[in-house]
Amino acid sequence: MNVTTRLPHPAIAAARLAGILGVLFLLIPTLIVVPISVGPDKYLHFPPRGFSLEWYGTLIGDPGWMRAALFSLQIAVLVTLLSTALGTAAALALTRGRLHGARALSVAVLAPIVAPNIVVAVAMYLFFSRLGMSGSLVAFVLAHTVLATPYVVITVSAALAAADPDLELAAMSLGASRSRAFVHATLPLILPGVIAGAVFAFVVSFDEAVVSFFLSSVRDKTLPRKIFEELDYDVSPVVAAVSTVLTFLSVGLLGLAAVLRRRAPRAPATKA
Amino acid sequence: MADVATRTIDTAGMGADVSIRSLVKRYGPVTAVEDISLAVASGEFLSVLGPSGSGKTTVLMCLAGFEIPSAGSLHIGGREVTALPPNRREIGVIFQRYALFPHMSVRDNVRFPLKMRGMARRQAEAVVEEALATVRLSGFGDRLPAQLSGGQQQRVALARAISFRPPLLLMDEPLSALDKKLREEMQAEIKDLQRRLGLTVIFVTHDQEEALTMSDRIAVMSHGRLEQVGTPEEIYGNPATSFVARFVGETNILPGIVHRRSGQDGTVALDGGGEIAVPLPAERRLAEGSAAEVMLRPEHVAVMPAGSGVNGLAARLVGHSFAGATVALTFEAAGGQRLVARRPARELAGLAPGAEVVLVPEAGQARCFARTGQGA
Repeated sequence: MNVTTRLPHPAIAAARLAGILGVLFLLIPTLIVVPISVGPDKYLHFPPRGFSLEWYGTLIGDPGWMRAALFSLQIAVLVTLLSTALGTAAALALTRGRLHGARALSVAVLAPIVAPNIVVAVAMYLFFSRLGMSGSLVAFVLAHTVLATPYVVITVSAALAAADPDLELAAMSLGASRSRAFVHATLPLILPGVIAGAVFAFVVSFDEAVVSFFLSSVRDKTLPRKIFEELDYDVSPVVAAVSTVLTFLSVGLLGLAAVLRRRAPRAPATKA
Repeated sequence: MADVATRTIDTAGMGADVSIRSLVKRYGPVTAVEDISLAVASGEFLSVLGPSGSGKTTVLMCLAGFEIPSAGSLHIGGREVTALPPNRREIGVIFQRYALFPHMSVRDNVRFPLKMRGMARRQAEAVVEEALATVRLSGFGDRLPAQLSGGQQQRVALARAISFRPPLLLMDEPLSALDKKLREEMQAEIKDLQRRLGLTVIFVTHDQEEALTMSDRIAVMSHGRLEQVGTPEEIYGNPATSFVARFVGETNILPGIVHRRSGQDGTVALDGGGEIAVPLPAERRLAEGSAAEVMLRPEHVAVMPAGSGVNGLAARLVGHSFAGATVALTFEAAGGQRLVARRPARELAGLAPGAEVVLVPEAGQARCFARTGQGA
């Protein structure tokens, strides 16, 4: 870093410019909803002609939006709890256990990330509608848990890889039962990874649109699904306001996760 | 400081005896430990020595309770512990990479076993201070493990492992991460601690020098089996198998054929020419005419000038390496056979590369083993 700041070589300057442009290219489509949401017009307009928080007021006052937001929140909280527990357990089994076919199993666990969302969504839809559970809270929670758990597995596995497995053995030799050894020796070290995984799980569920599109009923729908519907017959800036709130909530949470992962306690150097 | 230590943690004679009976450990189709039986006396320092993959660490893991034996039983202090979970075995374990809890201070690390046993905080505080004094780390309680050197970290691990006064200490290559000088200091420190506390210690190492220096007895392992159990003198001077002879200390290996045997004595005709007198153990595979290997320690090879009339192997000096008090002389004998002799450095005088000599094995010091076909 120091080297690049001291040496403004043309190639480095060009690379830096390309990087900045690349980031802007990625960000602008997302951030463009922010100015739109504070415009006074009754339809989506860019650039905004003035400033108004009217649409945020409308959003808060609308029971339809609030109901969808609450439903999404309810799902996301349950998904966070469930997938954090499952994902942490799976990561422990995959990295610390002596499993036959651990590699195949980890591919299977991570499959929902790789498989096309639409395929997962159709499968979920067919499955839950056959059970007559389409649109139910349980269906949403189970479907989102499938999608969110892999993220927990990834963050917790990374944390576990950095924690010495001998620590747990040491704790047991010193008188801790298996569960106490985990709680005292391993958990404090992987906690930042677990929390980061939980944040990912929350965001994955709260922002999830494709599966929700299929599973939502007329009465019970999630926030992203509601956005879809609103766009279909009423292009109101409220949609931009909702999108802005969602974006900043997600970015904020992921930023928090990043900070937590950086603050993980480091293992001592083992050299003399 | 030493005063405090001896006053407070002097519990000499508290070591437990250990008995390993027909221990077998398999991982799927792989047998890591194959039918090992071994008794360790109370207060004894026993090293388990072997190359990596010999099963020595598996034996230790079974004793600690981290692995469940496939067959056999383990007894510590007269109590069978074969299926007991590690936290109920009362054994101190020292790991190669220290295994200190990185998120806890030195004090909290040492207090951990006391906390697990529900000891009152104030009482525990005193025990922790004693333990730290014992390993000469008083005043380091507030540090984090990452702020200590490797040697200090291993001393904290020691303090933690003895703070709850286990009668048995298991050590898994505890010094292999340290540099040579520090390792030697720690060897002395561990020996001293073991004697002072009267602990039974089972010490796993691949370093034969370390095993020879520290142990009351050594158990040499190879391919999951015990090759030999004995005092360092026995292991070095009277290796039971060719593996032990090769693994412990330096040795010259001379292939040949048993030429004559009469009772416990005989001669071996070397493949490269020449004959050597050896004691022959009463072993069927060492009959006259069978393939054999003669092992000769470098310090048991005397160097005589050529034509001095003594019986020995004619050889020519090809190189030497000076090691302070001694010098290692490398010779080439007939048939290209290489031999090393370790002599007091002054004997080098007058010997230049190319010098013709006669090598004479010291009487009764050569060892003969049947050649197994696996070769060197």
